[in-house]
Amino acid sequence: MLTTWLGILAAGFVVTIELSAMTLVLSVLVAALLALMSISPWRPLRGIASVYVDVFRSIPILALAISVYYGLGATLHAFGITPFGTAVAVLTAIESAYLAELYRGTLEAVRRPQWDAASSLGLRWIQTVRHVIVPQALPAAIPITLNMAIAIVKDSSLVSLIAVSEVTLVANQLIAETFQPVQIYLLVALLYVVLILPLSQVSRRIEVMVARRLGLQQRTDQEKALERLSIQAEARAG
Amino acid sequence: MTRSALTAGLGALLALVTMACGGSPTPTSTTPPFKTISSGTLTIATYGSAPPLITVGPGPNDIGGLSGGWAKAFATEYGLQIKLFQTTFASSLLAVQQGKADIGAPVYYNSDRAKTYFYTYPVDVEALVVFTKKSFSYSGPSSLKGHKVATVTGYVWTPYFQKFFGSDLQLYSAASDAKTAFMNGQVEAYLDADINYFSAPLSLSPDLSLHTVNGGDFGIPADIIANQSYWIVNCGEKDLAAAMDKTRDKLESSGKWKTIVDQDGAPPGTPQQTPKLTVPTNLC
Repeated sequence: MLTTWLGILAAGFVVTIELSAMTLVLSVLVAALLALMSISPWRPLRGIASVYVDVFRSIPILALAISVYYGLGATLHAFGITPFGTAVAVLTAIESAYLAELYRGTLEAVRRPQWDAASSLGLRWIQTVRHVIVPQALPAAIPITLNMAIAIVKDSSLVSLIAVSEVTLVANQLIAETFQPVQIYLLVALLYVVLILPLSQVSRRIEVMVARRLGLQQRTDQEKALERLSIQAEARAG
Repeated sequence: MTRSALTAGLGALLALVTMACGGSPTPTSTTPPFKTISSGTLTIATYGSAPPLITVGPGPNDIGGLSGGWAKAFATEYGLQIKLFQTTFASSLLAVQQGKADIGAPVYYNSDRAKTYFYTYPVDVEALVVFTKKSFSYSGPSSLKGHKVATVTGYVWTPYFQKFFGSDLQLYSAASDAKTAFMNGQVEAYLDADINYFSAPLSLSPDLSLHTVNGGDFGIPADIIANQSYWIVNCGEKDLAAAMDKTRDKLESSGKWKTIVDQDGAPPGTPQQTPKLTVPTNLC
């Protein structure tokens, strides 16, 4: 019985993984672009990024998914957009808004002297971003991205309401046939854990790997403690 | 006036004030021969409107249609307030199983469900049909192969559709969502009971075709193509199901059921409102 259920749920879980993967890739691209726009020296670009982030962070995923899928149904059909495509678009729109703000944070965390040094070398804004800022922001962006991947996997269950046969929808149908909600939802939870736990591990490893490649040392706890003490001492002296 | 007469008078006055302030419905029976989750309340799990079988709203506890007429008569008879537990079709089944609702809005019979619920008398008779637009050339189940079709999660037919259509089947949590997708043209066909033909949005569409389904079509056995809808009650509340049946008998014998059917039922001449009043085999 358990094996049969797992087999049925696995088919839905494949859809969950496909949906999450496509959403993540698109969200990273859109978020990176928005983050760069938000730190750019051009005000219109900053304005567009700011409006996008503010709007899409304010709309619940479920509300957007339902209003787009049912509200624009005939139009979506005319353009051949499937429920899966709608789900990817909706999830990307919202997740990229959150991710853009996180990326902006990592870019702005690069200290001001780095910008000044690049400028003194005659680098243009785009060159500074590409060769100086992004390489330093990247190690911090990777765990953030993987955390977002975990959020996307979990948020993907919401699109079961627009007929995407991901694992939650499949589980609901199975429960309607078997009346065993506890066992089936536990299996669903187990599948999510099996996917998400390795993601956390991979996140940590990639962070270390990228830091090494870029010649950035991972600081030890002792070094971090020393830095804290030094900042406190400077503050007292100041 | 003696003290006992005074006490009796005050008691009667108190009873009158209680009746006046207690609101409707007024109990007509002393102690109900069944338990409910919340004393004095009949909690009904509903899955939205499916006229003429059931309508829900506009108020949070408003119920109508054939099922609503029966439930309201039952609640009045036993002095119960109706409280709706509004959810999706699949979740309404679970709500009754898990004791969140006393009764569940009418569903079809199958042996798996009969191990989990008691069934009352049937409310109506329905049959599976295929809804398509007139422009779609329907010549039987095979003509739908390769086209996107919609139905609702939890229906007795859904497992058969899943086998037949595979990834072309789009499952919706609520019939209203599936109908919207169908009307939008996002799916080529909508698979559901014929009663849906009598309510919006399908009833409003001039370019709609309705196709009957025969036993064996889509791999569905003949005995579940046409179905009766029954209220469902948790296996532990057999007395509640029996009491509902008694109410229905009274409605029939008093002629009130005919009034409900005339008011809320399908158009005259359609077979929806003539089920035989028998309880199916309960396997609880």
